[in-house]
Parts: sequence; structure tokens; C-alpha cells
Amino acid sequence: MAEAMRVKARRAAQLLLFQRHREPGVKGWELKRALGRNYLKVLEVLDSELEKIGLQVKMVKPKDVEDLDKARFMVTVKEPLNVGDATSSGWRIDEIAALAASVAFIISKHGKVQRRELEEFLEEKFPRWFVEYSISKFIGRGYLKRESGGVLTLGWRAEVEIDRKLLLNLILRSKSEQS
Amino acid sequence: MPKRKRRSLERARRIIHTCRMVEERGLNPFNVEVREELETLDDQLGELKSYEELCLDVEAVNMLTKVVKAQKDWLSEEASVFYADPAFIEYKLRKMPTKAIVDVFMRAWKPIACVEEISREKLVEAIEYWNRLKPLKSRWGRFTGGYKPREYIDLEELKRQGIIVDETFYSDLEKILNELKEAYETRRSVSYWSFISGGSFEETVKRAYMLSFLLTYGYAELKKIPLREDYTVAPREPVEVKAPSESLPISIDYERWRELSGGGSFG
Repeated sequence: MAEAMRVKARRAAQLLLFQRHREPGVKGWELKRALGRNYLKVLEVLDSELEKIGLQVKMVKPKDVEDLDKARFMVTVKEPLNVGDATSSGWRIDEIAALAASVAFIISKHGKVQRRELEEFLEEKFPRWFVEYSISKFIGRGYLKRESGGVLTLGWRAEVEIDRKLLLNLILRSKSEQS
Repeated sequence: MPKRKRRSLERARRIIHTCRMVEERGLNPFNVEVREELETLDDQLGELKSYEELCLDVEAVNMLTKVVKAQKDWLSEEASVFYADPAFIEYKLRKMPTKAIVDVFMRAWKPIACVEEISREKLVEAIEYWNRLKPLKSRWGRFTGGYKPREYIDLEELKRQGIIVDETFYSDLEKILNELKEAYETRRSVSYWSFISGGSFEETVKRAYMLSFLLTYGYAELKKIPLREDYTVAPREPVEVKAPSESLPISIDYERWRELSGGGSFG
């Protein structure tokens, strides 16, 4: 690898890994400004380097937008974590369960659900205070998005981090409590 | 208004309302019979004459196009998850033990990796900032004229600063209501922007503020004029509304006021 490319890949890693804004990730135009016009090539190189340590570069484009300058680039883990890893990074197991159920419930409702409806669904298994706290946390972290009229949809982070197809398939194939 | 025309307008409003419900609540967009509704609008188009009526018709057509887009998104969504029956997914979720949901989720979840620690560069910048920063006392002194010992503030001062209100607020409110009644009796259709528009920007904001109280207390009502950034405002007898209240933010900026008043000065 040419030294210039190596330097650029290092710079790209710094940009992507160090949280610069409230939301993680860097916009395409920011990378172009810092790395030059061939920033996609640099990201490709970085991606192959990160693969060795179980990470990957991921891109999220806003809906109906083709311009890569407006896309957000970030680094995610490549292989799924185990529950222990998640709990040691600050997630409680009941929070993960509430998040999983919320995301799956919203997907099953075609991506939109009334907040009240989701609360009632979660309240079957969790106390009310915990449900309210969790939903607010998921909104704050970007997993859920608050729309007008008390509607919740999936947020940008859910789009990046969660493989929706896989999640639904696994749920459909899972054994239920009574079976 | 002839009964036939009234029915046509009601139909257009019903279509707008239904489409809005689909858009905002995420209801199944295929519940809307788009072709049928377009035919209805087409049939009744000849009866609509005035500008407002035609605007209502255009808004209904516009909302139907949004439903068509929602139908496209709905199909894409179903295709993306290999169409699984939502009711079945919900049933499975309700029956799955919490631990099983977590296990399943962990296999589909690949969280973002980021470092939240401060970098060396930022640390150097922070130290430089700290060294340049003047003590708080000297910075605050510039704005407040130095430290003052704490003292009690009297009622008149609180009123003057607008922290508490006195009776004049209610008499002003009554004055605005009377003005609205008077305007409504003469014109029947009072535009929101023309009503709140005053001689100065400050007065305009004050009138909008007072009117918002009349709307909240139910002494006035606001109706959107389709396809225009304006509303009609009308007085009414206050009624106890059991449905949850809705808030409607309307921003007023200096440029907007200048447009309304045809120029003027601040304050």
C-alpha cells in the first residue's frame, strides 16, 4: 500500500472512530474535504484493514437521496456480539429485550406505530416506568424516531445497526413460550 | 350553499382527512380506494367554483398522490422483509420469552464502534482554551457591572419585567376579543395575519400572543386556508372540549412582519 494511502486511511479511521458530533459517523462531504475526492477508495482500504479486527465501514444514505456527500459513514462491528459484551458496555439485559421487542414490533407494523400502542405492548412484560424510560432512551440514542401525531418509526441507528430481515426471520423461526 | 355543493366539499374534506390519517398514523394505504376517490373528485369538479373550493379539490388530489407514494413504500417494505404476516410476528413476539428475544436480537445487531475519549489534539486545544479563559468574575462583570449583593425584588419590578401579570393582561385579552368580534361581524372572514398585524413588530407579536390565549381558552377558533400559509380566525362561545388539545406553532419573524406591513421599524 502506498504511504500516501496509508496516511489517508489512518486519518479516515480517526475521523470515523472519534465521535465528532452528537451522533456518531461522518458525512460524505466531510470525508471528501478531509481525504480528497477519492475518499471512497480510502474507505475501501480502511474497510479491508478494519475487517482484520472484526469491524467494518458502513454507509447510510438518507431516504430517496443518491448523493454520497449527504450519506453518513461510520464503523460498526462486523460479527454479532454476545449478550455479555453488550451488558459490559452499559446495556442492561431488560433494555436489550425492550429494544429488540420495540424494533420488531415497529417492523411488523410496517415501520410506524403509535407510541401508546408500543407502550401497551411492552407493558405486558415490563413495568410502566421502565417502558417510558426505555422508549425515551431509544429515541435519544437514535434507535426510534418521534414523528408527529405521537407516531414512532425506526431511527437512523436502527437502520445502521440492525439487520431487519435477519431479525424477523429469527423471530419467525423461534420457538414460543407455550410451544 | 346548495346541498349538492356542500356534499361535494364534505367529500373533499373527508378524502383529505382519510389520507392524512394514513400519512400520520401509518394506516394501511391500500384501505384508500385511490381510483374511486379520484373519480369522485373528477365528477364533482364542475360544481366547485370559488378559489377556496378549488384549492380544497387540489389539496385532496395532492393528498391522494401521497397515498399512492405510501402504497409504493408499503410494498417495498413488505418485499424487504419477505412479506411476513404482521399479526403473526406480533403473536410470536408476545409469546417469546424475554431471553429468547435478546438472543435473537444479538444475532441481528451490529452496534456502531466509536471512541468517546478525548483525543490528544482536542486535549491540547482544551488546555489552550483554559489558559486563555478569563476568571468568571471579570467576564460577568462586563455585562452586569460587577457583583451585587442579593436583595428582594418587589412586586412592581416583577410586573415591569413581565415575570408576573396583573389585571391589565386580562383587560388586554378582552380588548383583543372585542376587536376580533367586531372584525368578524363586519368581514365574516378574518385572516389571521391581517388580524395580528400591528403598527410595529412588537405590537404584532403581542397581538399574536394574546390571540393564542383566546384560542387556548376556546374563545376563538382557527381554520387553515388550504394551500395558503394563512388561517381564518373567528370568535366563538367557549365550549368544554373533551378531546385532547392540539398545539399549532406559527412563527412570526421580523421579515414576515415587514412583508405584512409593507416595511416599518422595529419596536
